[in-house]
Amino acid sequence: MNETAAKFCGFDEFLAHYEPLTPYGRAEKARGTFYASPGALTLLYDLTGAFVSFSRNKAKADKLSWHLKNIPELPSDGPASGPAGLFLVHRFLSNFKAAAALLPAPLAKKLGFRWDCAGLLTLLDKGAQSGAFHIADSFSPALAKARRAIAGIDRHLAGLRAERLDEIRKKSGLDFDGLDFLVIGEDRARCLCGCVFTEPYDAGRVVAKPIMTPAWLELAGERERLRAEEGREEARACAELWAAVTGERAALEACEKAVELCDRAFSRARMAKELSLSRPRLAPAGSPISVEGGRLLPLERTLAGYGLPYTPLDFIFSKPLSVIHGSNMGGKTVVLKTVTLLQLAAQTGFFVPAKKYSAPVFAGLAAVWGDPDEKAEGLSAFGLEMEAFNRAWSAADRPLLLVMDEFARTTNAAEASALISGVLSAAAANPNVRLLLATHFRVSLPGEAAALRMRGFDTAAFRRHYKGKTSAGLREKLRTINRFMRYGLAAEKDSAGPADALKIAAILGVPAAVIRAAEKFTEGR
Amino acid sequence: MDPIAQLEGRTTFIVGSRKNAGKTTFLNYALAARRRPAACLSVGLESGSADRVFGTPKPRVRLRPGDAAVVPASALSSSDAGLEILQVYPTATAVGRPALARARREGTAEITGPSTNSGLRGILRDIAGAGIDTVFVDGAVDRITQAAADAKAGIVYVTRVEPGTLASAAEAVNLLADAAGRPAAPEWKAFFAGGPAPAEKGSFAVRGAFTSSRAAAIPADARELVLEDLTKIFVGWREWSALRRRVRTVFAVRLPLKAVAANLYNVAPGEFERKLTPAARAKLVYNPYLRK
Repeated sequence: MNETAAKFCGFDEFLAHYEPLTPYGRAEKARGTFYASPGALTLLYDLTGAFVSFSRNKAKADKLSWHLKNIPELPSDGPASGPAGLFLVHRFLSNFKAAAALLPAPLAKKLGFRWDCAGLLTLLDKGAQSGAFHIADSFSPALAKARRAIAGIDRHLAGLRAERLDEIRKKSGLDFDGLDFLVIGEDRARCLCGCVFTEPYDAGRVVAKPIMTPAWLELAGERERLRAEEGREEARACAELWAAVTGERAALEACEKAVELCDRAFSRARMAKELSLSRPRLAPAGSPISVEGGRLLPLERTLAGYGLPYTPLDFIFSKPLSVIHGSNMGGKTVVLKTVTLLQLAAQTGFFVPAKKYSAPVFAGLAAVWGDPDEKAEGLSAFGLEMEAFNRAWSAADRPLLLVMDEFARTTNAAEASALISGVLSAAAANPNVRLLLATHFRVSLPGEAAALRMRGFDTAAFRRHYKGKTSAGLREKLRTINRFMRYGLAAEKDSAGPADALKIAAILGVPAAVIRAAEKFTEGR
Repeated sequence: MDPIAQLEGRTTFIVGSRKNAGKTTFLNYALAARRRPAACLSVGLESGSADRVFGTPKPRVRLRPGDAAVVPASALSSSDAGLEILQVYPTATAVGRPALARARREGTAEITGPSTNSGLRGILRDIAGAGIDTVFVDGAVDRITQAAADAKAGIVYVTRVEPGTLASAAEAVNLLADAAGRPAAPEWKAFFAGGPAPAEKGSFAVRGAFTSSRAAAIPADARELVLEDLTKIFVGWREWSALRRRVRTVFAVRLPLKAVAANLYNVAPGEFERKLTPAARAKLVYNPYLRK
């Protein structure tokens, strides 16, 4: 249901600016939580606001970003993740501690950012150096002993190997020079009996490996034994460390929750600054939806690409049902998309692209519109639209913001008007439904509905400016329309509404003969 | 030519003509012969997960203290190089999480790599962050493009030459040496990243694989063929050399061919060299383990 609304208003483009820094924040972004609880939203807005203030200190904000970016996800496989898992726990705690130290106490408290794992971090620190981690000698005296013995044997082995290779070189002229094997001619290998072990390479050559002395072999065997002992001691130390980690599981889970909440709010605050977003106001159920300076960000960007100014929108939807009429290209759809974007952003815990936005909290949002990507075997565009409406309406047993753009536009005018009347009547009878509907069709409205219209094309200003001039090229035409279109909403006073379609068609280059004939037809009616 | 000295201070992709061409053997030779600390990893199914998945023992590399390697986290404890962990990557491969680890003593380790191009970029960044500038990547040629965009990358091509494959092996080397010598056209990088083409008359650019059918589509009046890099060539040596006589060829990203390491089996060096172009011969080194 919310997905249709998200697609309708291009919410993904808005969401692309939300870049959580931790795996926990990214997982929450992927879940896309829609909050229907004012309490949860208020907490998130409060935290976001607190981080907006916090981020004014750039040095601190940068440090917090750095530590959050370095927080890994704690391993879900626990002790089975071995030393690699301990590395992750250590890195998590080191960065959590550093982040906690940066946060002001009241904010840390609200986030649940409590530093309760000092003992565990001190323990793991014994294996850490400059960000690296290993099962260090200090974890176990037996481990340290085995490693010292291995180091001694390695020195001895290296000496014995060098002696042996020198002996082989003197005897045969074969210089292994740090290599484990050489490829030599079969004939030559025959003369090296006792010096090298051979394996076939091709028809005339063999792979030759040096045969080491019994002393070397004995020592190498001892090394193997010590390596096995080292492995056992490492495993024992690793298990003990994991027991300590498991003992702190509850505290670690609390840390994970705090990190997620911190990341959500801090990343939302960065986004608020980047996009000049403001905190929405949550109004009681049934209150007006009120927008001042609302911006549909995807459209704002598109227009900027054309070098065109974007007109922020102001509007208020006071009644349970609002029916919007207006010119083609007059902004009906933009109004619906803007309010959908603002409401969806607000209910997913974001600040919103508007100077001021106030609205009630809904249990769900749905958009019914001619989705060009929607396809279903055997269903026409009309069928798909009815199907979309049914899906949306099925959620009307709880507070629902339902946005409908050009409903039933693919059928004839009479039946479309009848369908719209039906929808309005059903919506008026259901107190859960808040309906915003844009249409070209005229129907009689129930008492719960407000009739609104886009202010439309400023014909007088256009005529004054373009007297005797022509505009060419799509960019110029769009510039022209944009300049003279008044993207505002007003209460509709008469049922006829503005007739801008012919003017817009003319600007867009529809042949003059067609426009003249159309005007004649209109006058005739 | 010292094939190893020229690989220090850069990222080198060791790519093979086929499985068992000798890539890992060359990698171990490079690790034995280099002078500076190095890092190594593998990319691509052949050298990464498949061996473990199907139970074949994975070749190991020999590390010196201070060297780094990307190791399956599950195989950290089986290494005798006293590995300390520098980073653990969340992207799970078929053999589990990869970890970047540094050797604290001489020993061997199993190597693995990332499952994605962005993962490879991140690992190369972490290796640089650990202060190591000599990197050997054992593996797939199709991963080179991504790394080449960020790193000072080069290629060592390892080929196994047998009597039955002598001609085809020589042709592959000739093609690679010729393509590696073509000029760079960095002004086309944005085009291959999805951007617009530079306004250059007579240039014909091909995104993705350059195949015979795409070669046939080159306009008769084209003067220049632009490809992203040499890994995108999917035509044979003969077709390529015929094309080269017709149009100038350039690459948006130039990948230097540092050496061609030829492992000859029942083939005499002269026999192989006679089939190579001068450009290919100039890059040729023989099996470094070979002694007379």
